[in-house]
Amino acid sequence: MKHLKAANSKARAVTASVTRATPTEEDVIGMAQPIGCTTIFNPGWEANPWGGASSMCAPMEADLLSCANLCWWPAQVPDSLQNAPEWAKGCSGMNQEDWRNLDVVFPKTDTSG
Amino acid sequence: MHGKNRLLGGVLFVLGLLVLPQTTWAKWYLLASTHPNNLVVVDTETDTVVKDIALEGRGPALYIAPNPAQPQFAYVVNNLAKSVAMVDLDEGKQVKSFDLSSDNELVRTMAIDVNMQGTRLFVHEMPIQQDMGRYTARDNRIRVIDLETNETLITFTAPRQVMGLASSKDGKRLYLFSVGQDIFVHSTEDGSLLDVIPLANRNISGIARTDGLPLGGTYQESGHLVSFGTFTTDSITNQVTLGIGSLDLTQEDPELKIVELQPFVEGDYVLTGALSPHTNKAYFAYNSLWKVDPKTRHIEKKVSLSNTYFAPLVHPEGKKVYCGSNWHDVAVYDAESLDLITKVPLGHSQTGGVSVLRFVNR
Repeated sequence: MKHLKAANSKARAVTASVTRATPTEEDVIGMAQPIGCTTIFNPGWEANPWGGASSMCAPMEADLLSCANLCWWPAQVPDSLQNAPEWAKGCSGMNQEDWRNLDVVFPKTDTSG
Repeated sequence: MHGKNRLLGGVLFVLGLLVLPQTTWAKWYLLASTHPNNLVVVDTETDTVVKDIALEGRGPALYIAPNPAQPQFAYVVNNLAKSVAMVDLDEGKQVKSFDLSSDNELVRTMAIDVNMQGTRLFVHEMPIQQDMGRYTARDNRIRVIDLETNETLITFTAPRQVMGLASSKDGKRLYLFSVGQDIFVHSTEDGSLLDVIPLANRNISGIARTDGLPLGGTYQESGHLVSFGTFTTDSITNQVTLGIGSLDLTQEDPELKIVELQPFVEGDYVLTGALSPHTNKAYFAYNSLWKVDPKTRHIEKKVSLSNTYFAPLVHPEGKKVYCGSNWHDVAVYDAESLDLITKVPLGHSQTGGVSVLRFVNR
């Protein structure tokens, strides 16, 4: 393509298409944690590195604040840095007896119209 | 005459104590950042909490960087990861806050460090430019703060996904550790990139990639030895092998050493590791605690943990291993026998992640 010159409209469209497919600037950036994106690209919360469910964090609550506060898996655990900072307010001790005080998080909906 | 000798002996004893290095008479304390916004100080001789310092503003209290030259002070990320609080451990209170964001820029951090000389605070910043209806992810950067004036000296562009910082013992180089990348080495004077130490891209035949991240940042307390668990993927079979990586930051041009130890298999695995500079044994934790000899590559001892602990930290004197980072206590084990010595209740849960436990000699 480098040494060819588009001679008709179809060839010019092919050249334009190739140019669009190789943008000079990145449009997807890994790790943009500040606005609630995931920190890493692990397969998912509470799945082990093989995709199974054995030998997970025990108990499950041992992993909750770590995932929330580091924004690790914001789809599965509330993102307490940006979107749900008050989520764990009721159980700051995180002892077994106050896990029931964890808040419930609902998706934000646009009610403006 | 007898009294005079006794007096002279006493004076000589006191003088002797004074000329000894601080580390021979000072005590080691464990600093633990906890939910909602606290820094807990644990005396590691008695393994009891001696201070629970409530920080100002919002939590959670996250990553800790002690000041090795002025151990009265420690730096803690808080305020939804948007500030670094300077804490006076003697007074038991926060004395200053470095706020990273500005009016149109939201900045958070996941990695800080203070050099051995206690003169520089390094902050890895992840800035987002906030315009009307639009967010733009800006280049990540390192901010270098002069701890005498508390002013920023320089900022320089840094890789994304950095989750750990460590400075060389002479304070001239800053090492950046990240998820799924190599290790980047920058000059602390002008920010220039000095070196890239291959980790993910070691370019070794038969190895597809190597992953590793120093999840416990207790390197200054371990004679400037950075150590961490590694996961090496075989390029043909795709099998993953657990190993221990180490980098001696007393060296000008340190070599990354990786020893492959055990197959990484479902059902019986550990995630994070640390190497004892005293015995050269490797410790790994997750749902069990392992002691592995890197020479024989065999697990010498394995004990079940009462719950998941993300990080095993070797005490600076090498006799105990502290497991914690994500629970509301820290479990203390004998480094030789792996017998449980005690559990230290912190009163609040920790928030997991990197460098939420550090030792300080005070």
